[in-house]
Amino acid sequence: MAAVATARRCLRCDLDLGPEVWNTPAPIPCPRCQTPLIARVFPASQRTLAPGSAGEALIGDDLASCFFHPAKKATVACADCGRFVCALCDLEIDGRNLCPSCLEAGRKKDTITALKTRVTRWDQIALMLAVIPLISIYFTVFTAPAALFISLWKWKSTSQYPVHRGKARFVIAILLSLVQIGLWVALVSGFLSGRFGRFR
Amino acid sequence: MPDPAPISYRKLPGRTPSLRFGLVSVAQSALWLGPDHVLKVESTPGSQSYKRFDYADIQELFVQRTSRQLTISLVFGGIVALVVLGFVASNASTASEVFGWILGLPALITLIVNIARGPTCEGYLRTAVGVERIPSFARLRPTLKAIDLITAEVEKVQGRLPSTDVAAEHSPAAVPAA
Repeated sequence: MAAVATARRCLRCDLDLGPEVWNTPAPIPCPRCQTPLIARVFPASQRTLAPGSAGEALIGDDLASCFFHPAKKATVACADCGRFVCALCDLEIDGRNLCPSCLEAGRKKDTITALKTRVTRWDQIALMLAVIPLISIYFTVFTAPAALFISLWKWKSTSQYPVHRGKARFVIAILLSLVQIGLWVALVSGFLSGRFGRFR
Repeated sequence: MPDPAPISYRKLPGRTPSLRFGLVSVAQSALWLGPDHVLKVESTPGSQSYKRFDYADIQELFVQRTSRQLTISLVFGGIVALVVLGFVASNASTASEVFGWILGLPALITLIVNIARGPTCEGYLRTAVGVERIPSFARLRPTLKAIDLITAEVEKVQGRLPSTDVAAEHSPAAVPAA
């Protein structure tokens, strides 16, 4: 789709849309094809990217130097490990200044929510295991304990999700799996006690 | 490394057309408004992926109406019309009546929902590094609400675009040669 590359072009007729159609409160028609559109353009579109800081050279012995670049002047201490770092090594995440090694460790251990780009929704998996096999009851002998196990094992995982932090799905999965397990226990004990007849 | 207090997000109106089996959703996309960024959430069964767009980096939001609503209405309206014609024109047996209801009723519901949800659209968000399609900008009414909410947050950070800058950027001298 050619229009993706330049968002300020009409998606239908490819007309270069001028300032007369920008920042209108309601949709207005494209000057050429009359298709309603709305374009909100912000000051960032006028901004050129600032060059990155290379760090200031250390002059004299009375100043702290960067842990990773001894020749550079330290500008901040890492919020996690306390090492002094220069402007080049200073990485600001969620208002905290971190050094590269702490950032990498946080990314590897998956402990920095702001860096998460993907999570496994264990609550959805548990709910699917508790609900979908109900179509064919026989699978529930395996899936109900699995749903219960996942729900209890990953109970705290929802706090790591950026959104959908509630535990409703886990609760429903636990209740459904307990009912299914209870029914299987009743069925098996019924057969074993001879109440539903004997296995032959 | 302990994380600071969790970021609170507010869900923006609009979502992609999706299939839902009870509480388990299948392939969904939504936008969430954070304190300093917009979060785009793509959900598939069992996982979610995220993209964050800082308010300071958003250059542009673009939405345009599409004809998808008309296409859907024509397709499902056609099915409903065929079923009704079938009922009227033929000596309806029980089997054909059942078949007609099975085909016609979901088509009629889809048609009504499609009309009720309003015009369709598609939308994009632009930053300095690229243009991102926003699948949740699928219906015009909720999309306009979402755009107004995002615009308010972006303007808190960036301010408004002065009209002089707009004119300068769009002058022939500012446009690079193709």
